[in-house]
Amino acid sequence: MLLPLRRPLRLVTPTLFLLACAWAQAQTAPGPAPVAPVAAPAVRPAGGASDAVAPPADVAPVPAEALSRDARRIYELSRDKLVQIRTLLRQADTQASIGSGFFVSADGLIVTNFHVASQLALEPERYRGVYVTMEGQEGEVELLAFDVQRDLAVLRAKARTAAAPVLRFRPAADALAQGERIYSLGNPLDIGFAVTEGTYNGLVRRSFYPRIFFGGALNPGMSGGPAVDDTGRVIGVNVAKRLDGEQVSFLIPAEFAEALVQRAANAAPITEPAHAEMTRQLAVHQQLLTERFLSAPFREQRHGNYRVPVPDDALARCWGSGRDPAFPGLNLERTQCRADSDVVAGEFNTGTVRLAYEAYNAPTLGAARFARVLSQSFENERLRTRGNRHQTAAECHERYVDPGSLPLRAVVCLSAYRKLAGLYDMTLLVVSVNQPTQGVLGRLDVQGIAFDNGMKLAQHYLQAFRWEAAP
Amino acid sequence: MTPTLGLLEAFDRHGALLARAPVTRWPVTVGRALACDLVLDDPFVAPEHLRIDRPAGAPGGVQVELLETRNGARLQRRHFRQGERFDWPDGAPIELGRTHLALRLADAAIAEEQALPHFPWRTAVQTAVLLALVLAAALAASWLEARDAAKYLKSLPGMLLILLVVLGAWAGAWAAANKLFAGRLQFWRHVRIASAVYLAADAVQLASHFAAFAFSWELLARFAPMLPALVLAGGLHAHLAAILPRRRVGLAWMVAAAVAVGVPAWLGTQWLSNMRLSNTLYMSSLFPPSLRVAPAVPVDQFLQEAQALRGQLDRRLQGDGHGDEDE
Repeated sequence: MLLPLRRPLRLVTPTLFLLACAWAQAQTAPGPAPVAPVAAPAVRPAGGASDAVAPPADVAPVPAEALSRDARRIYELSRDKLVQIRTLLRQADTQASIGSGFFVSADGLIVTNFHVASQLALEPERYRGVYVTMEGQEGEVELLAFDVQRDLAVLRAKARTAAAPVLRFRPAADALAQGERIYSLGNPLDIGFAVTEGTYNGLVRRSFYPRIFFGGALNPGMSGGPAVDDTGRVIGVNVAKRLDGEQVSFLIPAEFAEALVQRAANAAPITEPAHAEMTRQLAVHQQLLTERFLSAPFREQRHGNYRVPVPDDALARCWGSGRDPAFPGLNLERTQCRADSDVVAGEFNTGTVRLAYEAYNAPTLGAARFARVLSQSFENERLRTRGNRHQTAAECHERYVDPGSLPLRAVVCLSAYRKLAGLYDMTLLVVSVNQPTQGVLGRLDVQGIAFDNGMKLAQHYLQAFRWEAAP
Repeated sequence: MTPTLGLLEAFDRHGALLARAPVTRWPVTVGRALACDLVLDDPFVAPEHLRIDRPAGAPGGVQVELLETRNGARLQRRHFRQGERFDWPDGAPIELGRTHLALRLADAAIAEEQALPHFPWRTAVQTAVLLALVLAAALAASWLEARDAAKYLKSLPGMLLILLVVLGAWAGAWAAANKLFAGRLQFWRHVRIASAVYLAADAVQLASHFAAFAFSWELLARFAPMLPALVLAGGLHAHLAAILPRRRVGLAWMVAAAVAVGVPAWLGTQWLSNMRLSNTLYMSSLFPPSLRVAPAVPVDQFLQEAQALRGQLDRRLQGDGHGDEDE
């Protein structure tokens, strides 16, 4: 990213949100999917609704001894409370994406992920939602409320006469112990309802919002499905998994779903594009993020005499790497940090903070050649030079800046979100200009930030650069 | 045998001899008719185009009278029509149709024999110096990029070969054009022009990046890629003027017009597609820090200035024309 040299390590950790989209299925069959044998039927175009859901007889007769008795019990307990959520194109009536959900109230409230229902929230004129029960019973849903920060949404099954069977939430006070068996339910890849066993591994470290670390397999299409304890009470909602690991999956703690259900109970259905509400929630998110970053000074990271700011360990995960073997005269240290705070805002993710450094030291290279190396690295930074339908192109301001002991060349670039009024992506590039054969290059990326908060973060960041002369 | 009073010669526009006729009596006629003393094949010449006379009474002067002609004739930028008469000064060519006419009189003084040109040491040295500079510039540029000495040395032969081939092909193409239009190759002259342009473009590039760094002139950095293009336009003119030296003024206007149209067209395209005149977002060429002259400002001032971005982004939101583009 920063340098035309080789990138030794892939630091952007791929997280797959467990939404199965018609297109994603066909084109990018979810990443390094260990689901090769199941991919083929998933690509099959969804014919009719009744055709897509296999009759229960097909799903149920699994050899009983292959499953633990608990899983079998959980399955029986929950099967009538689970639904599949489909987003359909209004005109063509083809399904655009699928996820899972579950009934939480007798009057038909369904909990699922925001990223499953985002098209209903943002483009209700183009998409409509339906739920399909395990028995193949289908009905319209309407969106009542969503929580972008936690990736939750509450829907209501319309025109339902019979009381819905519901899953109950496990009280937050009744904490699970690490290693306890839990069960995740949903409809992976539109194949049929499934229960997967796994373990509760506590909360994910450094996650900006609490997330449960589920040691079990989740697959696309299970998004929004419940994870339950061995008495069938909901402890979390399926949301994502890591693509670079096995059985590293994430759940949203049930308390947030419970809170959203309470908010949704009396809410009017959302029938207009809800960008304003999404923007409001993202504004809250960026405010929290800014406060977390500003509440404490940056940690100092040493590169020779340079002191560069990195976030607190609890806030962001950092990775470092060493020199480039193809360039013997150049000592290079690289660091990349990323706050685990991204949120799904419909078609794109936002809300994350990234920091990256490259520290160079080349005493034998000579000032001219060193300046050239540094220039190439500085020039290589990718910025948004062209706008698209989500964002404008970047506008930049640049200057020599001196926070005290270290003159820097600083470039701040912002690009505005078109439909998220008042939110911006900010990139701050800095390169030291104090030593002929040493230098440090930094980049701060903040997504979905308000202008003033962006400036505050930039100030906090720039002030933290230091040169400590040898004693 | 009658004495030869003069020699009438006709040339085409490139100076090639078309016809010649010794003058043994006055007057003589020129035209396409076989009865003329000098017969021309130029379709823009009348059958009997003009008559040249040297009246015995007149003191040495040669007179021309235009006969029945539609196109007339030109002498020293003056145009004469049918029936007009004029004096023909010694040594000046007359243009009729597409033909140039020259007259040597037997009693005119003959210029001294010229010495054969010596080997042009001066230009040879100039060429050698320019080539050496180009070589040095190329070597220095690749040394700046090189990661270690061994790799650099290994890459030298290939680089030199490419440099020579490109320079040779460029100068060769111009020399071919030169041969075609002016009858002379002038290969080394085009080599000199190409070398000078390369060096000048390099120097302009370096100077603009350096000034941008030293004085924090961001504007210069944004348009730095455009300055060598202007140098290139100057070089183009030099090549063309070497081929057609008589038209150098006209060519200068042409090149200037191309620049005057091309630069705004380029800027306009940039503006229409990205709403900015240059797609370079920031100054990225760094030099050794001791060469920096511009002061570094406090962080607060920098961010205060950055407030202007808000307005700029608002303008983009209102209409940058990218609102319906996919990633």
